Amino acid sequence: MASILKLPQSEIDKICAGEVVERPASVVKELIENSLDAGATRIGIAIEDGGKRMISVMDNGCGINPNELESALSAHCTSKIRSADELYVKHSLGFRGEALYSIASISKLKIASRRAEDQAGAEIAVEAGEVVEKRIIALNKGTSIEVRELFLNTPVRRKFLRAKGTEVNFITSMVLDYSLCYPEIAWRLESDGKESFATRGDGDLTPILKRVFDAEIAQSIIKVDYRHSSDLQQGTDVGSFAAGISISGVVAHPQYYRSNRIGQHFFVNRRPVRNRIFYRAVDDACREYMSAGKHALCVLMLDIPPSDIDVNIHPAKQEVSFSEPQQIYALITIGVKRAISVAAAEQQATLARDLASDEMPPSPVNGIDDRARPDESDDREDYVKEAVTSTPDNKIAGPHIDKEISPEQRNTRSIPLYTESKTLPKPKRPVLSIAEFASEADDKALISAETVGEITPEDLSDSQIMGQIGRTFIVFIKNDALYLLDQHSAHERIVFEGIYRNAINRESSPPRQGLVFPILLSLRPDQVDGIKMYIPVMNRLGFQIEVFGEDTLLLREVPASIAERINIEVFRSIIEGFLVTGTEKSYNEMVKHVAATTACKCAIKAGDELSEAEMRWLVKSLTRLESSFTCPHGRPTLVKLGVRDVGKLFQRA
Amino acid sequence: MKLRIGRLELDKALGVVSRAVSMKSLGSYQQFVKIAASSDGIVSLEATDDELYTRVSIEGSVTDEGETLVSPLICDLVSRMIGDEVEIFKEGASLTVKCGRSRYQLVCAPADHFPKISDYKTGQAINMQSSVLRDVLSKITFCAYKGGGERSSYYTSGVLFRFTPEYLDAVATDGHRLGLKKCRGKFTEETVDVMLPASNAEEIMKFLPDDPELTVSTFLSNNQLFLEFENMVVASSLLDVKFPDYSRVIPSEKATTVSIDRKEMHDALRRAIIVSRAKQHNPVARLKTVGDVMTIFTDATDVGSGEEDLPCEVTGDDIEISLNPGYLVDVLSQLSCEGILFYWNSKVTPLVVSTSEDEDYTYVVMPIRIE
Repeated sequence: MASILKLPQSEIDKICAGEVVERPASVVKELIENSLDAGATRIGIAIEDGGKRMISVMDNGCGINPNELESALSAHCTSKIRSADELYVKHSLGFRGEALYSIASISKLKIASRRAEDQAGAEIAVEAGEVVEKRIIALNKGTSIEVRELFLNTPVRRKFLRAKGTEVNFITSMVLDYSLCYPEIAWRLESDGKESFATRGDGDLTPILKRVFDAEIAQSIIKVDYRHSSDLQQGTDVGSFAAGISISGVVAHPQYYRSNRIGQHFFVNRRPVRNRIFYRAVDDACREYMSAGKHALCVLMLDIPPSDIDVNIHPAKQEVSFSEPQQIYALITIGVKRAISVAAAEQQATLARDLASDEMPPSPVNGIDDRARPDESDDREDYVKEAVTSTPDNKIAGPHIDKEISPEQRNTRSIPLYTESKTLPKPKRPVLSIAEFASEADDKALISAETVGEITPEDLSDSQIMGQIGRTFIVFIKNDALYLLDQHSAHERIVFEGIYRNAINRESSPPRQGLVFPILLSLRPDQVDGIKMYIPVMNRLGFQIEVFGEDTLLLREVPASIAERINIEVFRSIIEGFLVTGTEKSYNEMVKHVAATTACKCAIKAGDELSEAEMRWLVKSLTRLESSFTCPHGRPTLVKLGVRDVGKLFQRA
Repeated sequence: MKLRIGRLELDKALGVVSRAVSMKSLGSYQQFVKIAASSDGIVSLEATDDELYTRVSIEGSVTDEGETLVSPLICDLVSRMIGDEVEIFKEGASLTVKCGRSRYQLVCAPADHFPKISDYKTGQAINMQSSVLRDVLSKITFCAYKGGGERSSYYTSGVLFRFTPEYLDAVATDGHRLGLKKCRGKFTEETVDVMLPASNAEEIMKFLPDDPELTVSTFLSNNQLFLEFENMVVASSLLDVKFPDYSRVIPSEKATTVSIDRKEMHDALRRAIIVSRAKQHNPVARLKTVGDVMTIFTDATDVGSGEEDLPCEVTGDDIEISLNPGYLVDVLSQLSCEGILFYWNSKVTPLVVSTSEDEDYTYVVMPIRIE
């Protein structure tokens, strides 16, 4: 056995660097934060080959003393704190003194900087941590850092980098995030010599939101601006703790949603973070307006005294923990809920005003139908008052969006006969939590799925369909046994088998149904880049997708076997599924992955009401498949309860 | 409220009104029929599920005026009662319905919550013959997407009526086929687009008598469409979605024209579907002409295959195209003409179906591409 030795410093550095620098985007992040801490008002980022070949960040910040340039690259050297205690009161973004040192130790790095008071700037070049060149150069005020050949001495990390498009996607999303937090800074991002994003730095969020979401959604956003005020009723969860805390930002109108969290951007003290409390708070705040599994689009910024949070959990500082998480949750939930209900009230007022000014005939149900206006309760008015009086003087440059949202923009759905009494769209069905159901079933250990193995395909074609429970499970009886079928995972398996087998068993693409009107999906240019590698695979499965311009996908044909399941929303969620999981795989793995994603997104959902014919079709189609008893993700599709199983429920041994 | 009324008339009126009673449990006026009797002898029956509204007014002899909501059970009762006249009167919280030797008391509810329909005759009426409107709806409505769910907010779930000074276009599509019916004539001063939910269009079609003498007056008011004819008023909510530019969908070229017997083609396709739909949810069939014979090919893996030969007249090149035969069966069963026409350009461009009897009707089926 090898003896135990202390690692040489160079190896320790590589290991430590891995903690901070995970991918090109982490380099961009560290460099941007340095620029921000230097008080820059213009920050330019340029990348080549997704940052794998080159990353450069230029700013007009305060610059570095030429004599200190070299020490800036040493471990735990920082101008930002003087002792570990300061970590917890610090408002600056960086402070650990690790970033530059870590990056320098795994790349070829050049740093050039000039302070306003110096005659000339200084430049220093470092390769894998060793200084190779120092010189005096002419330079504008500010600092520029260029990183080439990232991971040059950590080949494994280099190998794990994803496709160029994916890395560009990571970097773009991150720069967009920072531009949301710092709209007063002029940002510019350039990829392979082409400008992909630029802001004027005038504090206006609208153009950034158009880029982050899309133009249509950016028009419909609702401003969130809430801080705990002392006159708030006791009894809410926001106690005295929350006095110095505020939540601001925007949420998109609930008619827009996504089935993933791509559209959710959270920041704490102007730092992008990921935190479950935010997720839960926004979901709960929007629960009234969208069904389970749908997530609102939002940009939310929490301003909180640094003493109440710990961002020092991880070197990348993306995670954050709160000293009072429950109260943060309550603050966010209330803030978002109120913003939406105020918008709903305004919408109603605008509608009423429009109707009055047009001298429309009196409303057929105005003031009569109590049922249709549950939002008109007293606390709704309180909400309005509360939000109006809540202080707008918080320090974060809140979004400056004054666009009035017209009712037409808000509601593109069917207008009911009696429009006046309706406000925001209500969820069409009771919110259903599968997770809750499942955990309950587990706890009681009522049902075991072991017996499923006995089911043979011929068994079930003429079963007696009993119905649907929870609009999620189909119940049917055959040969003295009760069966439960999960409509989503069953249909998912059917669709998957259809398109996947079709693709691998045929030499050419499966039959494709042409669309009368091609579906146009607008995305961000970097998302389009990220999707490009999936297009040949999707075309192989029977889609006909073309890239149209730099930010639009055009869908002309769909696999004939699932033609009626595809619409723009399904198409969007398939595409977004790839953005979340984008990673390099072998071609065959990609085909399987794309087929599974497509099946999942276009399958019947839990909560869809089915006719008896549809249920019968599902049962029949599922049992005809070879591997029918789990969905492509491995969840069971069918559970059988024999007489003995039911007997156990009644404690008959 | 107390009145006497002819049973057959009442039965007919209830049959119409009950179609707008909601089947979902909303627990309010949507599940009732409203009966209102006025002293001038007019008895009006109303129902709405908030999407569709119906009202039928009939004459009766009213002793006491009044109004009430009553369970739609009254429809079934009246249709099965024996006798010429029905007597209806309200006592306390129940409505008594008497006819011949039958007497029933139905629980009723105050009509205060039932929505009052606003004065819809504010704009210019668009007048159409009942038979024409019925024909338009029957040729178009089936093209829309039938399923509900989230899709109901797309253009695929509605029927577009485009009224212009020169013509009316009615269009619907489910994304894979599209139907367009043009009616010439002056309908409005300027172009007006109305998106009627397909489910309401289907109901309205059933209400309209096939009578060329009867005029239907249409009014647009308050984002609702009102139709007035005979003693009826029907109103529908409208969809607030934009229909894409359909004019580009219809090919202007006609490289080949095929003329074929509608009924023979219909029967052949229905047989072909038996095989092609056995395993696939969405069947595929291939149409090919050689000389004056069109052959329909079906081939389903692990099931079987089949061919149908049909005599036809071909002007131009021979055609070959794959498509979902269900879309052709749909249109052929809606049409009643003897012969139909296919216009074809290539196997990747839409196939157009029309008839020599009605050249203003165009039905477009997108092909299925097989490599």
